[in-house]
Amino acid sequence: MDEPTSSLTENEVEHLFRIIRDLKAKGVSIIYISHKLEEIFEIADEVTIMRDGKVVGSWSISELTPDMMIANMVGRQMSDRFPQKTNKPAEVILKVENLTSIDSKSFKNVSFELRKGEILGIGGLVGAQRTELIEAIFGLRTIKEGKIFIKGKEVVIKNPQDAIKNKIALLTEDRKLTGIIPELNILENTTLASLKKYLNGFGLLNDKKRVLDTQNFIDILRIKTPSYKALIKNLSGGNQQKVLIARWLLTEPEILLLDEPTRGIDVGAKFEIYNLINQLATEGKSIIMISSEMPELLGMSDRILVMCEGRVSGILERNEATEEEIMKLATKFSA
Amino acid sequence: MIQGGYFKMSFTKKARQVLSQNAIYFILLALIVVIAFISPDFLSWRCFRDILLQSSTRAIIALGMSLVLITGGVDLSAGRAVGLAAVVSASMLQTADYARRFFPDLPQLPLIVPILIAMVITLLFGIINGVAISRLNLPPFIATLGSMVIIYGANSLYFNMPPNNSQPIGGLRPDFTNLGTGYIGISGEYSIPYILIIALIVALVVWVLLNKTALGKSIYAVGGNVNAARVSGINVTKVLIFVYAFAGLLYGLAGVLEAARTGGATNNYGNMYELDAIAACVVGGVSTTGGIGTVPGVLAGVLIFGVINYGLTFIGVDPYWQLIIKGLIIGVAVALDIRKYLAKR
Repeated sequence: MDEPTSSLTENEVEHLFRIIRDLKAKGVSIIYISHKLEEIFEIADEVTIMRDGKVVGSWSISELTPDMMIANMVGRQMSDRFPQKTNKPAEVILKVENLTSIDSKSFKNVSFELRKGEILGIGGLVGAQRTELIEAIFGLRTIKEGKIFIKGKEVVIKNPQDAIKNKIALLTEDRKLTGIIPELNILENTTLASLKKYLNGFGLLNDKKRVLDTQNFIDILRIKTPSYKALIKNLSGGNQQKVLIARWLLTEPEILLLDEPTRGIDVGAKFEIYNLINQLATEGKSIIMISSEMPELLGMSDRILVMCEGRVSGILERNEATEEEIMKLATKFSA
Repeated sequence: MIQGGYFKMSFTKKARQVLSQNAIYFILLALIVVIAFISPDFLSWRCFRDILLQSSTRAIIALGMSLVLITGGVDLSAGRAVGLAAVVSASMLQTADYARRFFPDLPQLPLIVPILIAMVITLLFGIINGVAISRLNLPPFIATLGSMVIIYGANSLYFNMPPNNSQPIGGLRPDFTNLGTGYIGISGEYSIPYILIIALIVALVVWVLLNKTALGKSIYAVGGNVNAARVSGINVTKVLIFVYAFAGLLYGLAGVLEAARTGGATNNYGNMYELDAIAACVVGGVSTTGGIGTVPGVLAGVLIFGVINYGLTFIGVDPYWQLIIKGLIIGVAVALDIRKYLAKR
């Protein structure tokens, strides 16, 4: 089984685990691939850790602790799973007022503010309409009513082009479906959203500059690839994600909407992406991060907005947020 | 994960990779070698010039088709658009003293006027295709199947207008036919047909479009992953309308040149050319699922069919056998191509 729980809800995961245990009792052998450590400890008897295409080693589950497992996965000791926060939220940059979807089953009456240099986490259960909300802010979905203000001025965003002009970026939830262009190389994938800035006086692309910028991001983000000419489909999930982040950083955004930015990514690359998000916020970029992983929400966010059934059920400050509090809000309107 | 380093590969592996990634060019070369082996006279500039001459209009159509295929679409109206442009341009470019003129009282127009009229008409049909596909979300196969039939109907109505009444259009002006049959002489038997130069210019324009412009990159992106392209701020509607319109323009140009080359036109000109163009593109490595394709590949694909048509006739192969060989080459080329992608999985 290869990441069987990546799109399951907690109930469904429990159900899956019951089935796996049944199968095990009947003598079926199971290879279970997962990047979620909690699952491994819950279900596995024996663990094999791989890194960069090689086997690091195999252990019985009782010999391992989560920290040991992470250390073996990334090849170094990791004192903390999240970077020390260094960003300082300042004035309000984005204000969303009463945003309501044209689809009555989707989000409604959503209001919140985002500050410059702030990381605003969005929590909630699968189906809470979090993705729909930020896709609407990005112009991919139609809104019935509500207003969006950037730096105090009302903006109308009808499509992604408008969003990019307003210096908004969207890292989507599903890399394969809405992120990578598999048959194109890293260079083309990286510069796709910012092609206009590479045009010379004749309207032709300045390839030297494109290569230079791409190579620059390959170095800064430590994208593991033999060359910028490699097809993006041949990279690992974490490296693909880095290319997509580079794509958006080249558009010089002020507001980054990140939808499950570490989904399906190994622990080492995860930490690098956390560091990057933290650094971007420190540089004054404003970040909205949807995450279904509680530790990630709690470890990264300055504030956490929780949604339930399309509505905002609460906004928690960093110091008052706990897993229990988030879960309570995430199920607030559920029958 | 990342592919193994190129430099670490053994020589045979490298050779195999070069062979499979350039299969199309080797097939072309092998064809020429085999034909030349059977009939050494084949290796002459005369023969190559004839092949290039016959391939020129095919190349222009295939280049238009390749853009459409790269977006993940298909354009079945290409052949009929060629026929329409041939008839429209020919109908306005007959000599003044020709007995059965399409427009008996038409004054002598500057050469460029009827040519532009024909190309603008096919351009408009291209725009209609693009709008139907991008705005009304019709599948390209269906939308262009419809326009294919409509264009043929419109062309036949025009062709059947009195006093022409569906007579083949002939008596074309020498300045017009010269465009299709004339050439720049270099020395002795060496000469370059105008039509070949036009095809090369079109190839260069399409190459620049695909490789050096933001629009070209958007065409690949739309074909490679339309949702990702949209999220990245690409105006998918605009890209699709442009591609079908530009392809329509190229079909128009090809139709005009076909009329000039053959010295006439009927409403059946260009019939099934879209299938030849698709075959040439596919053999040339253009993916029918979108996102992949190059200008040199398309040109090689067109040339392969040019060499087959001319070369096999040259060495006296039965025309029916030629069809079977063509079909086999399409199959083999695509199988090799698919293997190239399967190997990466």
